[in-house]
Amino acid sequence: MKDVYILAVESSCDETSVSIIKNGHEDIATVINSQIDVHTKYGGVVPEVASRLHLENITMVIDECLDRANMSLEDIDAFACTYAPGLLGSLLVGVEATKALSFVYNKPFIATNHMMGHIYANMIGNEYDYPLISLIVSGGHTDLILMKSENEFEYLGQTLDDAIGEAYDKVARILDLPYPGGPNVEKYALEGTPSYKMPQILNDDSFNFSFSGIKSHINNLVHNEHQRGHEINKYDLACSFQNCVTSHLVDKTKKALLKYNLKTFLISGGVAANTFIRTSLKEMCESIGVNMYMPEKKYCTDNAAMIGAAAYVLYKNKQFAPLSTNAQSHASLEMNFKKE
Amino acid sequence: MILFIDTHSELITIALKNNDDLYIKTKESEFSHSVYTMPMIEEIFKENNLNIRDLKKIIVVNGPGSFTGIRIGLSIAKTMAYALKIDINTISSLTAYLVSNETNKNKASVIEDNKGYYISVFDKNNNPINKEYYSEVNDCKYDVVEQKLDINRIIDYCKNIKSENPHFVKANYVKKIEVEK
Repeated sequence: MKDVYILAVESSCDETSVSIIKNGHEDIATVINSQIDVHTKYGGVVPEVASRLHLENITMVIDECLDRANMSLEDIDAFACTYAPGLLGSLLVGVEATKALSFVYNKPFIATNHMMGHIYANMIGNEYDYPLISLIVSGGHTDLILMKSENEFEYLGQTLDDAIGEAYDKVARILDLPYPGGPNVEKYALEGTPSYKMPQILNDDSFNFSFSGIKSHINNLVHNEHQRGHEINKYDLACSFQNCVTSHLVDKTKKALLKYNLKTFLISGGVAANTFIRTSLKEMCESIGVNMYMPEKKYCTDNAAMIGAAAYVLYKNKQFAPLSTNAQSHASLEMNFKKE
Repeated sequence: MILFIDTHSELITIALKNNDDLYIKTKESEFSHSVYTMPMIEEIFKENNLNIRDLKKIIVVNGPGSFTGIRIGLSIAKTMAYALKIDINTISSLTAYLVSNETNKNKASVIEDNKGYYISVFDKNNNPINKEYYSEVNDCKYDVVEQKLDINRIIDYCKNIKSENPHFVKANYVKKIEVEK
């Protein structure tokens, strides 16, 4: 089969990213323009500001990516973008720009689900077999998914309240750590010991997660200690929190792997860049004879390379989208695949 | 051949001027500019048997107006101009209304949003009298023009304006958002 080059655009949150992916697994070039400096000023992503910056940067990021790949738009076989889920105003910039490219070059337009992108980030540089269990951990999601084949998604469990990344960010706020909160909590946790007692999280038979209770627990703990005039050891508290949520992830994942008797496990999403979580899951997998795959850290956080990888799966299945495609703030994974 | 794109309001306008022929498509849409705009552009070429490769210039309305609407039109316009390596001009929505109307007096264009008014004033020769501004009260003392676009006049007005670099094409929001204040 002829080589397939897909140009992918990701603009669902605060990163404008463009990537050229060959045959779904080879990253020819990826450019990520992060707005992190701007949003740090406000302590989080301001949607209107993010949308404005995407519009200002979009063609420059496309141009830079082509430049790095030493390719031109004529060489591209299909144009893909994230259409959901995410910030509507941000998504729209990527969606419209990509549709325009597809129209000008008369090449297929592929609308890709962001979460599907996170899962297929594993395709870049890895080879694995189905069926498998996939865990997505990010700022908006904590999903445990059973994939019987490359294009079948079955939700086993999800978070009932906050996503894990959201919990990290909220704990960072409580501890007065700067934005982006998650990575800073991880840094602090590295230097602490788990000396604070943490609650047991959702110890039930489901594969669901919950992270709002522990956030409240930490909030109360910090508040009470302040009232008593005690100093909080931020390093120890970050470490206690991280140990607690990680064992929650490990327990539920292990239960799912054992119940479905599967030997392959994928992790993905922004929080999958967390070294402690990666290592803890890896140790668990080794203890029960499961092969665990994880994307390189740079493909965990939002990037267009993973969108290109996912788009290749859609391309092979001829799942093209019309120019009337709209961005959506919410979309579940099943919707992305029309079964024939 | 010149393509005109306006998505700043609830009326989407796409026009294509080829020599002396002018084709116009409009569509009312409250929240679905993304659903209609690209298909309208595709159709206007198809229905008139014209080829996108013959396009020489894009004129796009860059606001003020609906933030999301503007960004949809601009994302398409700047990407197309970049990909086709052709000229691009942005025009303010207020200016577009002003140059579409001919009077012998000074004239004003006013766009109302939920908190106030975007205002621009031109003299009869289409020279700006003051900078576009946003005001919580409509303090405009001039004859207000009808909100109607005359594509031929807009194209004429843009004739002598230098093409912009598509990379630097920006929205004309006029108003500051809460966090910038």
